[in-house]
Amino acid sequence: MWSFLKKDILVLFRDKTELAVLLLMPLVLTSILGFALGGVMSGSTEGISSSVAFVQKGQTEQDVKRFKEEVKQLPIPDEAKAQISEAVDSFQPVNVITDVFNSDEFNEMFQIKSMNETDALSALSNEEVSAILIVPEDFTYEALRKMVLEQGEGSELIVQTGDHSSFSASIFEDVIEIIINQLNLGSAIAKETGEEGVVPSFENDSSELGDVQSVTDKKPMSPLQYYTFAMGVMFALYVGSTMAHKGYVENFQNVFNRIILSGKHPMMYLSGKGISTMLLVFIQLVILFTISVLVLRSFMMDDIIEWAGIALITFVYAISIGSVGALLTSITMRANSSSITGVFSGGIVSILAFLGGSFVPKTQLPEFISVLGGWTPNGLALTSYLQWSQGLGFDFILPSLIKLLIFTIIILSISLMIFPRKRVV
Amino acid sequence: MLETVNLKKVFKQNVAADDVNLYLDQGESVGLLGPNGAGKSTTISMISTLLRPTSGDVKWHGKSVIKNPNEIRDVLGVVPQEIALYKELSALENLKFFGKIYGLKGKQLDKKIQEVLEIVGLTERQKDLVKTYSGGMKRRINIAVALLHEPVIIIMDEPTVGIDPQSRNYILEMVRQLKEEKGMTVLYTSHYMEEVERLCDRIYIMDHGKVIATGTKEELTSILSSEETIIVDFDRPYPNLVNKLEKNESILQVTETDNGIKLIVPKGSRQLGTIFNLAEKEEAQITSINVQVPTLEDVFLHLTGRKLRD
Ligand SMILES: Nc1ncnc2c1ncn2[C@@H]1O[C@H](COP(=O)(O)OP(=O)(O)OP(=O)(O)O)[C@@H](O)[C@H]1O
Ligand SMILES: [Mg+2]
Repeated sequence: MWSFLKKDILVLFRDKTELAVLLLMPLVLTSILGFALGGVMSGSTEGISSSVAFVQKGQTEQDVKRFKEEVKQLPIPDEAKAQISEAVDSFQPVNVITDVFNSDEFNEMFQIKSMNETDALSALSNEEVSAILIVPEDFTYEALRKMVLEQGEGSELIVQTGDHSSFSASIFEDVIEIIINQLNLGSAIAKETGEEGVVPSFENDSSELGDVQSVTDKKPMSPLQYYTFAMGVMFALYVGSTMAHKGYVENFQNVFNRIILSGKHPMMYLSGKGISTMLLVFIQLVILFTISVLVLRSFMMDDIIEWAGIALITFVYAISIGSVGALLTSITMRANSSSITGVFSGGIVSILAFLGGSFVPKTQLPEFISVLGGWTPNGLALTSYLQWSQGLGFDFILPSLIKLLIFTIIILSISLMIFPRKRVV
Repeated sequence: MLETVNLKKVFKQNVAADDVNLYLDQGESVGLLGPNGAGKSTTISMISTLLRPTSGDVKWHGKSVIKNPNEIRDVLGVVPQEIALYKELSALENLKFFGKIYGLKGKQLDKKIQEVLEIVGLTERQKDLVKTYSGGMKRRINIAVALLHEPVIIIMDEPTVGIDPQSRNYILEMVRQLKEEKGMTVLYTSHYMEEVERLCDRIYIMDHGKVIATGTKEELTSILSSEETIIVDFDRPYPNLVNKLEKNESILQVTETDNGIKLIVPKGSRQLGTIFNLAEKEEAQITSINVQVPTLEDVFLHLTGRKLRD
């Protein structure tokens, strides 16, 4: 058995280009998709990725004065009035925003350019900035009124993104929203988007923002992280067809006869292919995840348990693709033609990848597609990865893993049935 | 030791092997001669338990191998017609893999590998990938793999097809040595009658799935002992002359060759005069004339009316 495995691996290592494509292609695609859709050079420490314009309409001091005037008219004790106006001197809503802008964490992601509205708009259309944060006239006044006196509607901060609205713009929006929520500035956020629905609904990686915390209870996920998993599960499928195809070009017909003549059970050949497929998938995903984490800094796990979960999912998925490799080998041998591996790698992989959410996040697919995707091995694996890395527990991923194992058993039984045993006298 | 009994294989409507009866005795070398599609490979596959016969049986020491194939597999070395090797691996890696699946291990395996490499003369090139080998070298490694487990019988399916004369000589010499020095029993398939003539003690001639003649080379050619072959070369083709020769009843067979004609005539029937006369009448210029004793090729031609290689 070991000799079969060793032979398969040896053969595989002979074709360096093919091996490189299998192992590195998902990495390349992950980076491309992660960056193209993300637009964020996320993770790199110097990482200034996009500029945003900051437009402050109106005058803070005037607003403060106006507010103090109003406080004076109030039928409350003078002591209280003095306290309020003291507080207002030391705390101004806009300062919260500028403080955040001046923080190191924020500057790692965004470069803030203060400018007037006209300049900002032209910078946006020239794509010099990816978004504008507009502090409207009366912002300080309205915000203070809402915060201190619980009066009025509060104010709105306006985040304007352009036609070319990139992912970083949406992160920026999210950041502002988080600030508002956290500090309860008595303000809402109004989004003015030139174009709708082009921004995937990812959340930014909170670790980039230091102590600013995400508003969701799930851990946020960066596009790089998403595509690391998405491309990983997709390219693993290619390993299956590559192994089967290797068997074909290796002229198994003749070699296989030798194996039968040696008195070895022909099933050895099949198991060799299945196990080497499995190993290769595992290695492929480990390489992908390692490089993605270390070099692209796509995501980080807090502790060993979380990594163990990723390893477990990878292992179960590798087994299931091993069975796919065995099935394709069986069919190829039975049909004595490599057409099935061609069809598989040329079409079926793409369909499975689409259904499973490797191209477009599942949440953005029509429901029946994501239901179908829930039955593909890659879809199941991707779901498990996403759930697990968002901090959902083992209970969440267990059903997917069980489904994957059931899938494996079914596929293995089919491949055993198809496997051409009639050659044995 | 090994025999086939009315061995038959039908593929759809195509009868690839039809009631083939042949046997091999310990230490002899037997040739299976026939043109493309004669059914040689089919017969060999059935003997080596890789193909189930439609009917008939293969017997090893009197026992059917169909019910119990492992016994014969152990003693059989099969050299397939196609190169059955991993082209991406080196000769050494191939030998290691196939040696291991035959249950050889460690030092014993290494020793055996070097031994067979020596036999096929590829010790120097053992580390090179098979795909970088010449056609002849691939054939030789293909044979080496079949020798690893020290088989008693070696079955070779056209081991010299499509290679240069030098490699071919090497292989033929190697087979001869295996038989004479190691006492191996050889079943050798070919459509080159020279090879079979040179190597084999006994010969089966197959055509259209049937064994049409069998015996030693002498026995087979003696089928034609009452005939002789006359080869006449001309400066150019003379169709009229061929026509007239064909009409002549004392000439048994006329075939056109590249440079002239080949005639089969009853032995001692003095046809040379007739040929000269006809040639004169047609103003045909004879460039050479040659009277031959029959070859296996002639036997085949005689039996089937066709040449071994078309
Ligand atoms: N698997 C198969 N399915 C259908 N027909 C087959 C199969 N194998 C062989 N045949 C047919 O059986 C006949 C005999 O083939 P075989 O390969 O035994 O000939 P051969 O004597 O070995 O010829 P060659 O000298 O070309 O190797 C041919 O007509 C061939 O087309
Ligand atoms: Mg053949």
